[in-house]
Amino acid sequence: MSARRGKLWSRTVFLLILVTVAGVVLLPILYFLTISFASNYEAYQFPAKILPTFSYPARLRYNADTENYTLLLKKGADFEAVKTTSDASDFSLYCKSQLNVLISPPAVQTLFDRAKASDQAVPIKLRKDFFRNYVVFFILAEGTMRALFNSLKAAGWTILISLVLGGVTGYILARYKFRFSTTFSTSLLVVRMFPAVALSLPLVVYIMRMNLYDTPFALAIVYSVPNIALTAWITSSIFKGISVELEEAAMVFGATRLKTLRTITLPLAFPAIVASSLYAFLAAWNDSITALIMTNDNPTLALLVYRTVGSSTIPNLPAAGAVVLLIPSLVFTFIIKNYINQLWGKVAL
Amino acid sequence: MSYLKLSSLKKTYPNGVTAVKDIDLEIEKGEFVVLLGPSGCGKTTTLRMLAGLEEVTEGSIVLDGKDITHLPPRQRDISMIFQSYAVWPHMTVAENIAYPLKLRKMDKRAIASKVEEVAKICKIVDYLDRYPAQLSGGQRQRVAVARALAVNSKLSLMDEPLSNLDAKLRVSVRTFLKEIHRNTGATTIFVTHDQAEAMALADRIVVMNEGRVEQVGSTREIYNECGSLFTAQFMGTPPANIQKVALASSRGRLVAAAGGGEGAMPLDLGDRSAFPGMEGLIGNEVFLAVRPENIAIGEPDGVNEASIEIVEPQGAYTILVTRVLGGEWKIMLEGDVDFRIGQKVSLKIDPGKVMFYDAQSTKRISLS
Ligand SMILES: Nc1ncnc2c1ncn2[C@@H]1O[C@H](COP(=O)(O)OP(=O)(O)O)[C@@H](O)[C@H]1O
Ligand SMILES: [Mg+2]
Repeated sequence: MSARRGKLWSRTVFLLILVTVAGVVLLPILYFLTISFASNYEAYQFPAKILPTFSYPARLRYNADTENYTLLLKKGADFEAVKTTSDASDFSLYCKSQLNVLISPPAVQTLFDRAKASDQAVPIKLRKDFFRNYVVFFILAEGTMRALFNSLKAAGWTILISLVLGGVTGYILARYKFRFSTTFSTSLLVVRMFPAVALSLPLVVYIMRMNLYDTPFALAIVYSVPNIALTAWITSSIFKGISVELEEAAMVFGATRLKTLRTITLPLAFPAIVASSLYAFLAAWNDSITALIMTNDNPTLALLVYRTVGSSTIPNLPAAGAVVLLIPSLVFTFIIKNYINQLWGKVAL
Repeated sequence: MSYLKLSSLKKTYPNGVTAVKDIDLEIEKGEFVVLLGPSGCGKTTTLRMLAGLEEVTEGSIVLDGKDITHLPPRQRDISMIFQSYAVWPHMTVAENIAYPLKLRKMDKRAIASKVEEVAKICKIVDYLDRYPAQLSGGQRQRVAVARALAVNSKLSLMDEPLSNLDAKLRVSVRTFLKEIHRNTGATTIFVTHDQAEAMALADRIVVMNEGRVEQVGSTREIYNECGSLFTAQFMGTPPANIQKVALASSRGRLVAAAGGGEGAMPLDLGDRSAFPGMEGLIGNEVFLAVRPENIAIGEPDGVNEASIEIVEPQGAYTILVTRVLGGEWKIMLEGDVDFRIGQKVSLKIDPGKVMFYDAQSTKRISLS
């Protein structure tokens, strides 16, 4: 009896923790996403909306005494006056810049006429240009496309360098016993403890000498340093898990060493290789500090977003930039996730 | 010239362990040879040198007239069944069997029919599309056998292939392997530490001890004519009863007294005439070995009396434990015989089956 109650207890607590963690992680992400779709007007509202909106419940009132028009937006139970003007172009501009609503001055004029004909505030429909912030981000942050390509190049090189050097190191650590091999593998982790800045400053000197400054490849070199270590660490534990007999069997049955590596070892280590490349990708993709030090005219996307954040007082535009930054890593992660859990015959190895 | 010849083969590992010390062995084509010995005696090392997985320190290996001592594994035309089976987990059963054939540049249709053929023999046709993780241990083992079978190599090596199976399966796979060997006639070297396996399978057994060959012979020779004390001690379940004794002659009979004179009753081995060529040994210290099944039991008659200390019924036979010459001796009797603990009996030793070993060299003293 008490055992069952105890179980119920622990299940409840477990569920509570789960919900809390999910809330702590998911709510900010959702809020962040909503902000990236918010107009300037919405971004200043409090309390903020959890879900993004597509249109505004609005009214337009004709003020006979001053001969102008007032736009009213719903706030709580009431309507709040947000803009009073007699000029259609002025009204149109306000809609575009503050509300993310695209409406041409002639269309505004039509609305004005309708309001004038009525002695009350008339309900009007203001539909948001939903992706306006994203469009603005690409227009405003100059060279976004180029930055995107720089990021992709840096990430690609980082993956390549980390996998080749880290993978070889991991294989050697797993297969060959030599003096200080444990000391060596532990010291690999120490490399990871260095902050990126500490690594990049001394490297800048060499990179300048090699005429590589301000290139994605140079960035990749800096990103790779801690990642080679991590990759070596991850792959060595996987290589250790691959029985030597599997490789030996291939060689006995007629394969060369290279063929064995290609057809037996690498396919079996594939999940680890994929996981390592994900780490490498994320390290390269999300970094802005190193890019700040190491680039000049060729910023990465992350750096660009970082700069937008710095130059904007409203969070909606940087949020859109961050989502632009997030999407490729999400896509990459989701594609790769399938391979990390790769199982042959649906049974864990 | 024999088919496979190992000459003065030696292996010292980088850490200084000499696992194989000077092995000479000749094997004929089609033979099923078993390397038998306790764990750590160098069986696996020997096999791995044959496969090319371990560098040979000294000596040579000649297979079918060709010196393969320093060839890489792939150029030796050898197949192997590993203790862990070593079937590749990322390939289906069919792909596992086909892999070596692809490397041999066989054409697709020939591969398909070969896979089909060996799968039928090994009864894994239904699993060809499965991954090893979806198979039981026994099935995985048959995949390993099928893979080795398909390549039709000059030499087939097996390193304790049965040791990971449960006891019942082990016996049936043993029979299966023997059947395959009868059908293919493939020259096979099989490594095991299990003497029952060795005796059941082998045309010839090579008993190994501490990196050396202790004795080579048929099952019968190895069991009944143990060339050394080690073999006598190693073979048989339970192994031979062994005691260091001083031989004496008393009233026309050969008598063994316990070495060290612990005051135990001397053992009457039988009439002197049953031990021709014994003269030189009288008064010497030797090791005496008698197999448990070569001792019979009779009513107490004043000769070799002992009392039974433990009775271990085994169904088909019964093992009795008594005290002889101060040591614990086992006696094996056929059938489920009824004995009481503490019962006094007389031991009747079969004089023709008694073995003597030199106290120093521990080699067999042959009586002629
Ligand atoms: N790779 C190795 N490095 C060092 N010593 C080894 C190695 N492999 C085996 N040995 C040693 O060599 C001896 C023989 O081992 P092995 O051939 O595996 O014996 P068996 O197969 O008869 O049990 C053992 O003492 C073992 O510890
Ligand atoms: Mg072994």
